[in-house]
Parts: sequence; C-alpha cells; structure tokens
Amino acid sequence: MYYSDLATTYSAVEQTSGTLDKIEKFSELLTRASADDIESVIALTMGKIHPDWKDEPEVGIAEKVAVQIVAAAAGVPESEVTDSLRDVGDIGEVAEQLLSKSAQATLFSEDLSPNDVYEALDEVAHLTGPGSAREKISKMVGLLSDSEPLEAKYILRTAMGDLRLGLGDMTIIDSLSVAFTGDREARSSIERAYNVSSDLPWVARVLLSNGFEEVTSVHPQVGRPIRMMAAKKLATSEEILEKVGGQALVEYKYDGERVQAHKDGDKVVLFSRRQERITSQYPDVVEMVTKHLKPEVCIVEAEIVAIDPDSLEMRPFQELMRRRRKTDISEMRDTVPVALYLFDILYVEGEDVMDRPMLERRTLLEEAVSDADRVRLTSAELVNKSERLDEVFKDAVATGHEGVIAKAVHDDSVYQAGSRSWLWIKLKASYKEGMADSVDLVVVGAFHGRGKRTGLYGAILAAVYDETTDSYPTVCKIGTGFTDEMLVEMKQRLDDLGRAERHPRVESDLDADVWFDPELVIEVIGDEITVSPTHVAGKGILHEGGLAIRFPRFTGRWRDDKSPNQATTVEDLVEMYKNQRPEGP
Amino acid sequence: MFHATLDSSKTWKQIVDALATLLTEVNFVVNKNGITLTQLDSSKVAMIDLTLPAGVFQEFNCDEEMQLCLGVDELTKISRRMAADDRLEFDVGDDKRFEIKMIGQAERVFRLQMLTPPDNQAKRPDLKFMAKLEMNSDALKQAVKDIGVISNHIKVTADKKSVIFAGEGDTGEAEVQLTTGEDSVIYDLDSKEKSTAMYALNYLSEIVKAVAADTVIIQFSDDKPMRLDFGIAEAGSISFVLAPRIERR
Repeated sequence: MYYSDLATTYSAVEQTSGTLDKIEKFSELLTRASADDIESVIALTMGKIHPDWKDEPEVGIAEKVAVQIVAAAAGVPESEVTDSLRDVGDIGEVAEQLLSKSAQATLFSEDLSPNDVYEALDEVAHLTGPGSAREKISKMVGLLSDSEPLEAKYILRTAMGDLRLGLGDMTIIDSLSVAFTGDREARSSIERAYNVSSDLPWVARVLLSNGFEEVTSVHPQVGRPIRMMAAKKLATSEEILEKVGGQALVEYKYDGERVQAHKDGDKVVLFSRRQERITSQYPDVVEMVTKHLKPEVCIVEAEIVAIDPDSLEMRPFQELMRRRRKTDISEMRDTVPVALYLFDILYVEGEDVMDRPMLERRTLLEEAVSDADRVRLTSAELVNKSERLDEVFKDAVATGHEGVIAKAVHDDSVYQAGSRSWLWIKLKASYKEGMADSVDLVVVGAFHGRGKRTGLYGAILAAVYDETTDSYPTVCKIGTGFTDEMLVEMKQRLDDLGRAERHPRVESDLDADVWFDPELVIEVIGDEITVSPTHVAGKGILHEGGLAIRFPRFTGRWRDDKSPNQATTVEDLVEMYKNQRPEGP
Repeated sequence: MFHATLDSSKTWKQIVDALATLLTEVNFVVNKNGITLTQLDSSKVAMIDLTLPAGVFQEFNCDEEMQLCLGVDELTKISRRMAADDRLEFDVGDDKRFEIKMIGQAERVFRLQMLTPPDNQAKRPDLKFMAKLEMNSDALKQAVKDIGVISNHIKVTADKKSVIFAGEGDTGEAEVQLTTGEDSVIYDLDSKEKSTAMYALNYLSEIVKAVAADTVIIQFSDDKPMRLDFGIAEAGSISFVLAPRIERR
C-alpha cells in the first residue's frame, strides 16, 4: 500500500459527514492493508505514533515550526505561508495549495508507504538535544518534498497531532469490524481486545494476520494498561438496587486518584486513569505494592488517597493533585503521605480474572493483600435493601468520603474494561443538590471578565466529548462557582492552551473572546439539562437544538486525572437528559 | 588504528565549516588512501561528497578501513579553539575515541566519543549535465547575495556565451548577468543549448559559504540538480549536489 492510498481515503472521509459513510470509506481502505502496514495505517489515522502508556515522545510539531517546514518544502518565503494560513486557517491545506504550485525536489525521491511516513515521524519525535530543532525541520522538509500535495496535507496534520477527519477510536473499531468480518457485529469483541490491550494498531494486526478468533481471546499483559471500567450514576438507592438486580456490593467512594498497579516480582508500574505512567510520582505506592501484595504477578486497581501524616485521616483530592504537580517527590512524600485502598483484581499469577463475578474477584483480592495501616481493601458491604444503602451512604459522607459505589454481584458482574457500565453505579454526595449528576467538562473557550474580574476570565465555555465525531461540542457557559483564587488558577492553567481561533475539533455557535486547545477538564454541577438553541452538544439526536446544562457551577475540582476524551460524553449527556424526572411541585 | 598530522589548523577549520553547512553528524570513511565522506543532508535535498587523499596530511597511517561518526556541533566548537599556528594530530586508538591534539604553545587534547554510524552509505545520484562552467568563486558569492536581496530562490540560466542568475519576490526582481570573454569572471563555459533551473537560496547560500578555493565548477541541467565542485585543503576536493525547486502548473 502507498501513503497516497491513505491520503486519498482521508480526503474522501473528510468530505463525507455521516459516520456510516466514513466507516464504509475507511474500511474499504483497510481491506487493502497487509500485516506489514496495518499498524502504521491505524497509528497514523489515530494521530498517535505510540499509545500514551508507552511513554514515547510525540511528534509535536507546533504551528510556528510547521510554517517554516512548509516554506522550505514549497520553496516560498515564510511570509507567504503565514499569509495564506491566515486566509485558509489550516496549515495542512496551506501545504497542499502551495506545494501544488512549487516544490523543493529531493535527490532520491521515492513513493511513500504508510511505513515510510510512520518511521520518518517516529524519527522526528525521537530527535533531542542540540541541533534537534533544525534537524526536525530538515527531516520534515525531506518528507514533504517526497510527497504529493494531498499527502503533504495529511502528513503535516498527523505531525501536529490532529488529522481532523472525524474518525474517533470507536469509528476506527467499527471500520476494522466491517473490513475484516464483513459487518459491525464483531465491533464489541474488537473493542474489548482494545480495552484490554490499550493498543489499537496491535489489535488491528492480530485481527488481520491471526483472524477474528484470536482477537476474542486477547488477555491482559502485565505492563500494558487495561482501559479502566467506569461507573454510571443514579440519584436514588432504590433505582440503583433495581438496576443491579436487587443486591449490590456497596463500597465507599474514596476521594483520591484511581490507579492501576501492575506487579511482576519487584517490578511495579502504576498507570493513571489517563494511562500515563505515574510510577515515579508515587514511590511510596510502589513500595506498598511490592510489600503488601502477595502474588508474584498481578494487576490490581486501587484508590490513592492523601492522608494526614499524624492522624492518618483522609485529606481531600486537591491535596493529592498538589503532590502530583510537584517535582520534588521525596519531600511531598512526607508532607502529603498517601494510603492505598484496593478494590479490584484483574489478573493474578498468569490468570485473567476479569470475567469472574465481582464477589469472586473480591475474595481473590482479599487473599492477595496483606493488610497494613496504609494498605487495605475498600470498605465494602453486601446490601439488598435501599434503606441500608442510604445508611451506608450517610456513613460514607459523614466520614469524609465522596459517597458510595454500588457494584452488581450477579453471575455476569464482570470487569468491563473501557466502558461506563451499569454494573457499577455511583451515588455521590453532591447529587443531593441540583442536578442528579455532576459532569466533567472540557474548557474550550473563555470570555473576558469585567469589574472585579478584569484581567481574568469572567466566564468559561465548556464542552463534552463526542465519541463518534471525535470532537468537543459546547454545553454551557460557566460564570459562577469560582472563588477569586480559582479564577487566578484558571487563568494560569489556561495560559499555555490559548489560541487565536477556535480549535478545529471544538464545535460552537458562540463566539468566545479566547479559545483554548481542548485539554483542561473540570467538574461542574448544574440544575438540569435542557434543550438549547445556543449549545451544540447532541444536536439532532433528540430535538431541534442541542443539549445544555442550566445554571452550571464549577465544583472546584480540577480533573487533572482525566484526559479530555474521558470527559462526560454526548451519549452520557443524552442518557442523563432522558433519566431526568420532571421537577416536583 | 589511525594516525594523521596536519600542519595547518586553517585547513581543518575549512573542512569542518564546509561540512557544518548541511550536516549535524559526519560520517568519515578512513582507509589507507585517505579520508572520504558521502552524505545527504537530512532533508535529502543536498549532498556533500568530500575526498581528502592521504597526501593532504603530513603523516597518515591507517591499517584498516574504519568509519568515524562524529557530531558536527562538537567538531565546530573544538575547531574554534584552535590557534592559527597550531599543528594538529588526529588519532583513533583501541579506546575507539577520536583524539584531536593541538600542538602550539600548549599541547591540548580533545577526545570525542564516536557515534554509531548509519546503516547504509549514501549513494551518489546518477547525473548528466547539459551545462558546465568554471568561475571565480567570489563572483558566485556576490551573485547569490545579490539575488538574496529580493528572492528566496535563484534561477540559473546558461547558454553558449553567458550565465544569468535571477530571482523574483514580492518586492521585485533581480538579475546578475555574466558574459564570457577576456577579464571575465567566467573562466570556462560549456553549454551547447540553453539550460535553466531553479534552486532554493537557503541551501545555496550555505553551500557557497563553504567555498574556500578561488574557483568553482558549476554543472546543471534543465530542472535537474546542480553540482558544485571546488578544491579544499590543496590536494582535496569537495562537491555539493543540490536538488532543484520545481514549478508545477
């Protein structure tokens, strides 16, 4: 396969708007891929040379550098590139236009394959040290000089980490299913393999070369994060018990950072919910895992909670995040010590136990942990009456916990990697006021403050994540819930993310004063979800308008532990809207 | 084992400066005949081909062929530390380090760690040229600078009697015309038909900076690479090949 095949398909995918059409076009291309190039094809399409958890550098070409690259490759002055960038708005398109007029030739030109492009970008990503900035530009110029204008457009976008095709992970999975099994029936098995391995290019190659059977039997591997299972939310204990089948294991919800610990002898790796390696931030947790987990090899999940060094009492999540941002770990380890509350086990001594029912896993976990002051299982109780669930909830809140999670215990109560599942349901303290659920929103824009807030942001524009189109449609404008300190911190945190134009993946009908790269995730509660003419989230799914959050307020929780595509999704929002009961009299 | 001496630090500086125009890493191939280097820059737009016969050096011993792969940044920094009348000694011993000794009022030694050489040696592109000319190198440098005032690329045209360097930009046009004849800066011109090609000035102006000889030979064809040859370090020679800028319609 040539990269030009990929570029032609990208162009066709970009020009159609329907998800099914996109799947059809992309899957047709996938049928032409071979075992040798499918991994490059998927990685390039995802815009990620390596999965996050591999801790490899990203290509990360900034727009300013991209301008220099295009200028050199097209043999035009930088000012010409900047001028047409102002008109066109997308550097990829600028490259396509300029390169079709004139181009620098290379001494040995070759038709690019997806592997050529992948390897060249990987090389660029790995250049470090003195002279690397110049070398990066030079390599990219060589790559663009070898490519046709249309290829250049997508190579450049990939290098900048944003292909802008509206092909999200889920749509790529659909396309793989169609390409290699004929229809979308197989998508859930492929998705499961992805959730267990966190490596979609690899899954694609297994699918192509070993067949669908092999994909259905993908097991976890120590050192490779499993995409975390997440909980749904409901407002009352009655609903929760009904949903999980009458009986639930009710666990305290600790106000900490969720971690997935992989242990192989004395080698321990800690992954965050965003699948980042956080091993070096928590040397104390590594020690706890080595000392207090009996199996030689295992994968467990736990909540890391900040505690008071003297009283050992729990401290709020913000304390922990403060520690996460610090570089002087050894000092923070003493001032913000942590405790580890374990709640699940997914793999033990070579055996995949994700498909065992919840209580069996809980027993395995009990057997695996030798309790200590700061290492223990989450407090949990088997409950079948809603009154009791409410009592446990009250106790949890009274003792400084966030609330409770009720987990199904029936035969099918498996660990559903990567999904937000009705098997786990959250009842949180904050739901007692206003909207039933809090949401995690992505900050995409802001409006300048006036009066007391001059120089700061007066309100921010927030978005949810749309999994099918891989974009961020807005849901509300938030102007309340901020203390002065929060506003100052908000400004600082957003400083590096600012941009003059709306980010291409942000969808908004409102015109913000400042736009941001969709990066920062914050927790927000509101009064209710309403249909809105102003906001675009879920537009067309339910009614004429999109969905909006009414009277939104910032809770003060910065969700540094979440990446933007782990924010509340359009699908979540639609479900919350449907579950919303009419207000009482 | 490799050992060589060079009486003139100026010659060494010229070599390093010429390589630094395009490369961040140099990969010398050393054998009993001397030192050679054939490398593309990382954009594959230009190539350097360097030959330093053993005779360039006062002493030269190399018992088996070896590759010396070094960082250009380090070489440049070290060559800046050389005094004009320093004598140089180069050695590679069993410790696999490249040793540069400067012998003057003091005896100074720099030992450089060698880098892993690239997997494959660059091959030379197979080129035939329609136009060939030999000219004064200062005149070439001036012409490149003149065109650079207006343009970021240079169009070279040669016919039987003259060579024209031209460029255009947003602000206007520039042209330098050189004709053969007595007292001309064009010493020799062999172009049966008219040939025209365009090259990026950011590459070309770097390359002409490296010319330390009095004359330079230029060869090119319509919309094809240009080759520049000039002498370096008396008996040595260096050539640069530069791919053209192509206009598409």
